[in-house]
Parts: sequence; structure tokens; C-alpha cells
Amino acid sequence: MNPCAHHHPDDALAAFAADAVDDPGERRAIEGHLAHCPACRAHLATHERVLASLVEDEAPPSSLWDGIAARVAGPSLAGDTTAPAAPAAPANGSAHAAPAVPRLLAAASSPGTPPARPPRLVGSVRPSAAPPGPRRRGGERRRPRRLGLVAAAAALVAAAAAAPLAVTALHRSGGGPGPQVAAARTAAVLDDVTGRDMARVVERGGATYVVLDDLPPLPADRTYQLWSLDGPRPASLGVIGRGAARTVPVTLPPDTRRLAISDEPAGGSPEPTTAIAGTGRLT
Amino acid sequence: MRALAGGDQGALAEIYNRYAGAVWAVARRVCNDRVLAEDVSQTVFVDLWQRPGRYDPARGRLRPWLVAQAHARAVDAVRSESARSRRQERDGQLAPTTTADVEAEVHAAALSEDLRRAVDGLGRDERAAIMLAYFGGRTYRETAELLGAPEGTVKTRIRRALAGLRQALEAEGVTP
Repeated sequence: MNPCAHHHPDDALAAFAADAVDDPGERRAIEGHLAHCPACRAHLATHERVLASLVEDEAPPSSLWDGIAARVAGPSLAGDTTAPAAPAAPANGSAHAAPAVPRLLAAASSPGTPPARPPRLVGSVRPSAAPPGPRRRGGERRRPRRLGLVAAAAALVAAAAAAPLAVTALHRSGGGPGPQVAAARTAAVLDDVTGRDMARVVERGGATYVVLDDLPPLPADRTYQLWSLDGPRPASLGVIGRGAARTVPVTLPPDTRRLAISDEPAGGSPEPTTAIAGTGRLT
Repeated sequence: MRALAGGDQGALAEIYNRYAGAVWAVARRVCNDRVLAEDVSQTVFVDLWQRPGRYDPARGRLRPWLVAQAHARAVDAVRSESARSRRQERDGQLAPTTTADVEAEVHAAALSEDLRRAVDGLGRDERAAIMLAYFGGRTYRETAELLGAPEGTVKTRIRRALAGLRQALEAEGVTP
């Protein structure tokens, strides 16, 4: 028996749960009712559980914890000793409050070596020191539901063997067990209109590469093409293959800042002929 | 949570380790802007630290509660005028001809396969209403305008979508 059935509360409560009610009077009425109706509070909690089930964990940017630490306790928490680490991870003397995933990876590769500080944020693009999650490998998009960070870290360690370029930042030290490769830096992340990461620009040893993280392979008569969006019109920076090779070396003009990728006929086009698949900004 | 209320920073770090992925995911999806999403996510954890009593364990688990906090803050953020203009500029640049149906499908397409199945099991109207309202951060009035449907109908569709999703998720062995 729903005590508020006389004013169609179910519909209102569902919209309220989805944060789709913005009228202050309407919100007050619902909140006032919730304050003295346990049945409707339970109903709302059920709606919230269903909605939360639609949200799949994603590894947050490494700068997220830094910001929280700075806002919560100032420098003491922002320092290394109390940064989050899963219980299994040993404290490693890092001067950087890395969040769990990079920290676990650092611990797995070379205890005692500070993980690379992630590049600063520019605009809406996330430069990341962390390698992509398992969904970005080989076009595989399915993610484990509610992927825990520890599980994510384990998956990322496993990914190291498959994609050494993507994880090189984690193997900078001389003595650790991982592969000995030059340090790479993620200079830009290109994401699509939904914010999903499509590709990265990675710099390593003076060379620049585009890593196609989540772009589907194209048929033989198509190719991906890289563009600079710095001028009044997109300027071609060359074709980067049809997605069969994940990592493609590119040469970027020195002042390149804004990049985009589109799907074009084989050989490329003078200007984009399809919707831009992803955009990003170089740092 | 008791440790958190006692000012234990390690407790906050542990909660972050468990739930930052969910908080970040919903903030990023709704904001469609990483800087904004980072600010929203930070605020959720800082707020939990400062006012842990706002979470009532008797009402349910921490994850859905934190996701709801993050969603509400993300929606507030995108509804503020400056954020809206940034988003529109970005949306306009990338998808000038997006219609409500396409927008809803874009949100659904970003889901993983099993969730997608649950969402695809909804009727088209219900799917569009819940995707636009929840991941699109639209009010039910905006959703009604976008879909050309009466406001009351949109609220009903959101409610039916939630009921349908609950059923579908339970059928897949997930108890929401």
C-alpha cells in the first residue's frame, strides 16, 4: 500500500530519482513528502539502485585523488603517506599521491620508484599517465560490470604484455621486473562526442605516435585520417591506416594543438567528408 | 563509515578506492566534460568527508547513494548557464544535426553489452526518456520538448523504464 498513491507519486518519484525534476516547488513537495513517508523513501532508494546499476566503473584520472586530498586536508593528505592504496599494495615512498591504479601498477613494476606525475589538464581533454582499461584493447568494448580498481589494476598489469607502449610510463626504473623501454608520455587523448576515449597521441624518444584505442577496423577502401583543427579549416596531417595497426607513427607540425580523426576513403581526403570520430588537444 | 565520521583519512581513501570509478563514470557521462566531471567527483568525496552523517546506511548501500550524489551534482553543473554554453558549443561542433532519438541512442550505445541488452529490452519511448533524462541530464520538461510528448507522459515513461530495467537486471542475475 503506497500512502501517496492519490497524487501519482510513482511517476513524480521516478523523475525525481533521475534528477529530472528541477522546478523548486515541485522538488520541495516531493522532498516534503519523502520526509514523512518511509515507503516512498524505500521506493526512491530502489530507483537509485536501478539507476546506479546503469553506471559502469571507469578508472578516474590520476589527478582526481590529488584534488580531493588537497581540498580535504591540505598538504598533509596530499603527500604520499595517506594516498589511497588497496590493502595489498605496499607503501612505496612516492612523493606523489597517486590513486590506486597507477600506484598498484608502480608497485607491481618497481617498488620505490615514483610513478610519473600526470600531465596537467587542458580543456576537456584528459592526458593520462594511466594506460587504457581492458575495454580499449583490440576493439573489445565490453567491460566487466562494476570493475573494481584492484581488478582494474590487475587487468592493466596483464595488459602490459600486450601493449608495451601504453604502459611504458610505469616502467621507467632500471631495476623493476617489467620490460625496459623508453618513457612515453601521453600528449593528448582524443574522445568522441560521448566522451569515450578513441585514441591517444603518445610521445616517446622524440617520436610521436597515434594509438588507436577504441576505433573499429575499417574496410579495405577506407582509412582513418588525422586533422589539425588549429586553422579556420581542418588541415590534413595524413592518413593513419584503417585501424589494423594500433600504433601509428605520425609527424605533427610544431605548433599543432587541436587534433581530430575522421573516417575517409582510402588515400585520404582534402577535408573531412564524414563526422569527426574524435577530437583532442595536445599538451 | 564510522571511521570516516571519526576523521580517519584512511577510511576516505578506502571509500575512494572502492567507489571513485562509479562516481567518476556518472559525472563524466552526464557532464560530457572532463574538467567539470573532475570537479563534481571531487566535491562528492569532499562532501562525504565533511558531512558523513548525510549518508544513512539504513537506506541502502553506499555505491548507489554516491552515484546519486554524483549524478545530482553533475546535473546541477551542466544546468548552470556557463556549463550549458560550453556543452552546446562542443555538441554543436561535433554533432550539428543531433536529434533527441540519436542523442538517446548515443547514450545507450556507450553502455556495455549486458546493460545494453537490458536497455534495449525497453520500449523505444521508455528508452529515449530514461537515457535523455539520466545520462543526458535533461529535465522531464526538456525531455518532453525534445521528444514531442506531454510532460506527464515523459514522467510515466521514466517510471516504466526504471521498472523495466529493474526487471531486466534481475533477470540477468543483478539485483538492483
